[in-house]
Parts: sequence; structure tokens; C-alpha cells
Amino acid sequence: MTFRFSDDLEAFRHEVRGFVQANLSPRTRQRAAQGLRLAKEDYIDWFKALSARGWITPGWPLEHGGTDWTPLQRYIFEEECYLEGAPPVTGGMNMIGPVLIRFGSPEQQAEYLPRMRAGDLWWAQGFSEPGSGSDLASLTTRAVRDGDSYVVTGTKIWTTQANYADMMFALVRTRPDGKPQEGISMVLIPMDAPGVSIQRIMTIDGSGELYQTFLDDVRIPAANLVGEENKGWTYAKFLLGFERFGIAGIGLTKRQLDRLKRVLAAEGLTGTPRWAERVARAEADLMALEFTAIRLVQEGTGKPPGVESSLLKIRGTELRQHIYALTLDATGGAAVPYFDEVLHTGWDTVPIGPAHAATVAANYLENRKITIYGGSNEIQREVLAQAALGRMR
Amino acid sequence: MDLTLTEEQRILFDSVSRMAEGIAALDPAQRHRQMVDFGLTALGLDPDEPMIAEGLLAAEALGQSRLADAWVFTQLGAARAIAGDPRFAALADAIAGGSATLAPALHEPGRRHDPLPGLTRLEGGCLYGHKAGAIGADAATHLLVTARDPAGQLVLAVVEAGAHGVARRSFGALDGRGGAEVIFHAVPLGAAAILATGARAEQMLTDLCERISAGLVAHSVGAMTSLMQMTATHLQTRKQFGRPIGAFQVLQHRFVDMKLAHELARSMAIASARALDSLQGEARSHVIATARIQAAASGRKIGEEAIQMHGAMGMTAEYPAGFFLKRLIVNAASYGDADHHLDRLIALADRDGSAAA
Repeated sequence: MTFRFSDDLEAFRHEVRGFVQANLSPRTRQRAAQGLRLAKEDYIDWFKALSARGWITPGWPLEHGGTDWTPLQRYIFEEECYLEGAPPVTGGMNMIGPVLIRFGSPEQQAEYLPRMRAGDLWWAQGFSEPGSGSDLASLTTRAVRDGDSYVVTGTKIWTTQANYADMMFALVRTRPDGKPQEGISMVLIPMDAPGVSIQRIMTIDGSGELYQTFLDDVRIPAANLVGEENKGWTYAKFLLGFERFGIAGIGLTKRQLDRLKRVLAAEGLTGTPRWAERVARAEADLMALEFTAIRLVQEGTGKPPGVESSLLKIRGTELRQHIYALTLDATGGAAVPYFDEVLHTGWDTVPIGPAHAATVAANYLENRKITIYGGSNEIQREVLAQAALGRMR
Repeated sequence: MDLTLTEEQRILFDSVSRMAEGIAALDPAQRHRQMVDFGLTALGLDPDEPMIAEGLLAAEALGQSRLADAWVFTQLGAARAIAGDPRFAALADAIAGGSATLAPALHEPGRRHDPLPGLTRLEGGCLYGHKAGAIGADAATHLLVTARDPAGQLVLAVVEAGAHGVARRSFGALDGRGGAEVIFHAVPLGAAAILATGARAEQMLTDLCERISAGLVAHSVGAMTSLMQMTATHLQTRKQFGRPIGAFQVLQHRFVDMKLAHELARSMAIASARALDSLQGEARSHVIATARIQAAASGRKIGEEAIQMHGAMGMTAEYPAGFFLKRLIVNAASYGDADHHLDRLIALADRDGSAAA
């Protein structure tokens, strides 16, 4: 059984699916199906297609170029995009966009929002630091006011795709004393400003999508402060509360489950009692999660799920990791030979071993990160525990 | 069955461990030279000496280090198989001296974990066939190969890797160990190349697979030890929210669950070593299959949890947690995964259940 929405919503789902199928480039679709890394043009082409349809910023208010979709429509849109293998719309649209609309100056809105709607502005998130991961409030990157400027000094880390980014929205310390949360501001830093440098961080799956960003006496206009000084923590909480409706990633998990089935078929394991049971259990788990995601969106009418998004993030990421691990197991010894190049654009050599095996181990390894980033699952469980039990000491 | 280590064994373990860590960053030829000088390539070549306890200790020590080497497959596995056979005495000497390496190449494409040959055959005195990615086969001078003769009997043969008709495609395994897939086309094989045929070949193949399996368990336990050490240090030193993250009870308990998994695997590694020395037939197979199942489960849990507890740092290639997780994955997928060994246990239980260790 698959969930059936009302006729209106099913028509909407059909419309979204038709759009994605017609507009997602075959090249991107093929890369996604094979578990290959996407190149920048995969993202840009998709952003342009979304922009042309007016769907690149569905969560923004209508007057700023968003949509009037209901929460369920936004859920359906995100899931359909995932299901077809479309690249995720990167941080800027979902995160800094709503912050600028709510707290940004008219000048900031005029400068950035149209370029974001056109798919022409790529944002990096500058929150984590080497010493401040889960404990974000302990961050130490400083911004010192100097006339009409701020001078920013420090280090941001785990910046995804900083090499593509035009701008960074960063949390910086503007007041050293008092409660840690109260001395933080949010600023907008052009990535080509003097003093900004990035260094690639290779990850265990062989990808280099993460970066460390060094900020050495970077001078930015004081006008690049978002909202008020020392209110950055409030804005960050607003931004993180604006989580995607599709945080459970049901569509991604369904895709991976299909991939598992293809691997099982290729390895001659389809229908063996052990694998039939594992697949059936995974499907049962996925259905329970999907129905929960839909219920929570329905219950939270008019606003995105709050605490519930922690619940969906935990279960969604852990189930997806489980299915990646099953895929690795199903591949068996064929997952052992490893070629980094296989994941990169333009690789066309015959792999050692069956074609279905080439990216399985790297995809498994890459997806170990999903329970770490975006607020680790440990932090998400803290959030849920405090919501359920109150703050206990 | 005594499951404790002697003082000499502890000393051996420490010295191999130090040596391996010290040479991990050298290039492959230099590393091999150092392993030869240390005596690791002579280990097990005297058939009168029980090599297993020492061999498995060395495997564990290697597993704990960052040295990426196929030693478990080549030495514990293949080299020991020719030990004491006068026809291969020169090869054994060359292995001990470092001028030759013998790598097993058994598994075939499309046959998953079955070590018996499907495609590879002896026909008119020539070898034909295809072996799937075999770790160690890239750098080996000789390959230990399974095939069927025209009568359908199992044959174990030693093939020169540089012989006419042998084609290799090399790869780096996920964890940095080298390997190759091998294709044989009309490779002439004289009688001198045949190590064993029929029932004797079947027994030797079982012994070979069980030695490698026990070696992989020991190697994995070593990798787990490294992950446990680095995770403990991280929990004790990484501070967030004004205290070491190890002060959070939820992480303490999860670390203890990793510790439990480590201890279970270690016990089975030692039990495998004892079983190889003292048990035969199904009783031995029972212990080794159980050890493989436990090592696979413990390794996956410890590897994944170690990365999770390190957070984003654990995802970086520079930090060694990922390296050891990858080693555990490669080991668990080699010479039978957990399902394969579960099937063996089920088959043994079906037959009798008399496998008392």
C-alpha cells in the first residue's frame, strides 16, 4: 500500500512528477541512479529549471516569489524531487532566504533575493568551527566593528561545497562577554573578499565536498550585518526551525531501497528467505515512517514541523543508513575493489567486478555523515527528550 | 581450550605492532623489505612448527596498525599451503627471502563467496578461467588457484603471475590493500604446478579458507582495538558544553556496548586460533564460522559508532577512524560474509550438531 492523498493533492503530485521528469536532465538523472557525484552544472541546470517554473523557493512568502502551497504540497514537492533523483536545493534557499525576508534590510533583500530566485547565488553556511560542533554557542570567530566595516577573523569548518559558493552566511562573535548565545551576530561574507580562503577536506568516501574556510582579517561592510547586532542566535534558531518538510528523506530512502532490489537481482539473491525478510522489514519500516511524516505535516497545519522534525530526522537518516548497509552487504565481495575515479564526472572505464557494485561502498561511507550533520542525532535526541520530559537536572 | 596469551605472545604482538605502525607510510617495496627482515614472510613455512598462534597474533598486530598489506591472504593463507612440499621448496625459500609472494585467487565472478571454482578449468594441460578481485594478487609473483580438471575434480595449482596467458587488472581495495582480478587463457600448467587434486585438494582448500578466515578475524580485532583506543581518547578529550563529551552518560553507555562487541570478537579470535591448532573437521569449522559472524557484527558496530562519536572529524580521510572501518568492511566481505558463514552453521546443525568446541 502506498499513501494516497486527496484527489487534488494527487493531481498536484502528478503535476510535480511530470515537471521533474520533463526538466531534470537525463545526465543528472543517470548520475543519481548510478550513485555518482553530481557536478556543479547538475545543480545549476536544475536550479534554472525550478526558477523558470517559479518553484525554486516554494517556502518563501508569495510576495517574495514563493508559492502559496500548503504544508502537504511542500512535502509532496520535496519528496517527488528526491524520488526522481533531483539535486537538493542548497542551503541558501531554504535557510538564509527566509531569514533575510524576515530580518534582512530592504537593501539586503533587493540585493540577494532576486539573484536567489534566479538560481544565480550559491550560499555556504558558516556555523561550525573546529572547536564548536554540537556546542555551536561556543564559537569564537570574531567580528570587530571598525567604522563602516566589520573585520572578521576565525575559522569555519565542514562548509559543504564552499568552492561553489558566492556568499557565506556566518555566525560570528561580536561581544566577548555575557552569555555565549547573546554575543553572536549573523553576517554575510562574499567568498571572494580578501582574506577568505578555503581548503578542501577529503572525506572517507573519497569525495572532497567539504571545506574549511579561513577568515583572516576579512573586511566586510557593516551593512552586511543581518538584523541587529548580537541577535544572531535568534536568527540561527529561526533558520534551523525552518527545516525542510522533507527532512525524513522518504524519497531518497525509496530510491535506495529500489537500488538494493536491483543489486539483489544482479547478485541472484532476490527472494531468498533471508533477503526477502530483510527487504520486507525495511519496507515496513519505511511505510511507518512515511505515514508518520505525513501525519506530522498534517497536524502542524500552517507551520513547518518543529520538534517533530527532530523525530523525522532521526528515524529518516537511521533507516536510510540501514538500507545503505544492506546494499553493501548484498553486494558482497564485489564492493571491495574501489576506484575513486568511478565517482567522478567523465569516468568511462569498465569497472572491476559488476557495474552495479562500483559505487556501493562509497555511497555507504558517504551516508555515514547524515546522522552527524544538520544537528547530530545525539543533539536531536536531546531536543526530543527535553520536549517530552522537560529540562531535568 | 586455554583462551589466554602467554608472556612471549604478548611480546611478539607488541613488536609486530610497533614494526607495522613504523613502516605503514613507506612505499610498497620498502614495506615488503621490512616485513621480510622482520621475519614475517618466513612465518609458517616450516611445516613442523605450529604457526597458528603466532601467525594470528601477528595478524591482529597488523590489523591494529595502518599498514595496508595482504599478508593474511598471502602468508597465513597461501604460503602455508605449500609449506613442507618438496616440489615447492624453492618457492618457499624465495617467499621467506622476499623475492616471491604467493597470493590465493579463488573466488570467481558471479559466485559470491563460494570458494569452489565454476569457470576455471584445466584443459589439455592449460588453465582457462577468471578470478574475481583477489587481495594480494596485484603484487604477487605466484598465484594459488583453484580449477576443475577434465574429470571434474578439484585442482589446486601454483601459477606464475607473469606466465604467458595470465592477465591481471589491478585495483586498490576500499581500505588501501592492493588486489587484482585475473584472467587465464591457455596458460600451460605442467604436473609440477599442481599442488593437489581431488579429496586432498578439497581438504587443503578448506584449511586454506579457514586459516584466512581466522586471520581476518584476528586482523579485524586489531582494527577494532585501534578504533576503541581513538574513540576513548576522543570521548575523554573533546570538550563541548564545557565538559568532555565522555561525561555524557548516553555516550558512556554506547561506548560500553562497543567494548562488549570488542570483547566478544576477541574471544572468538582466540578460540579460532585454538581451533585451528587442536580441532578438525566440523568442530573446527563451527568455531571459525562463529568467529567470522561475531567479527562481522562487532566490526560493523564499532566502526560505525566510532565515526558517529567523532562527529564530522570521523568523516575525514585524514583521521584514521574511516580507514579502520573500511578495513573491517573489506575483511567482513572476504572469504565469506556473515550470511555465508551463517549458512555454514545452519548446514552443520542440520547434519548433526556434534560440533563441541
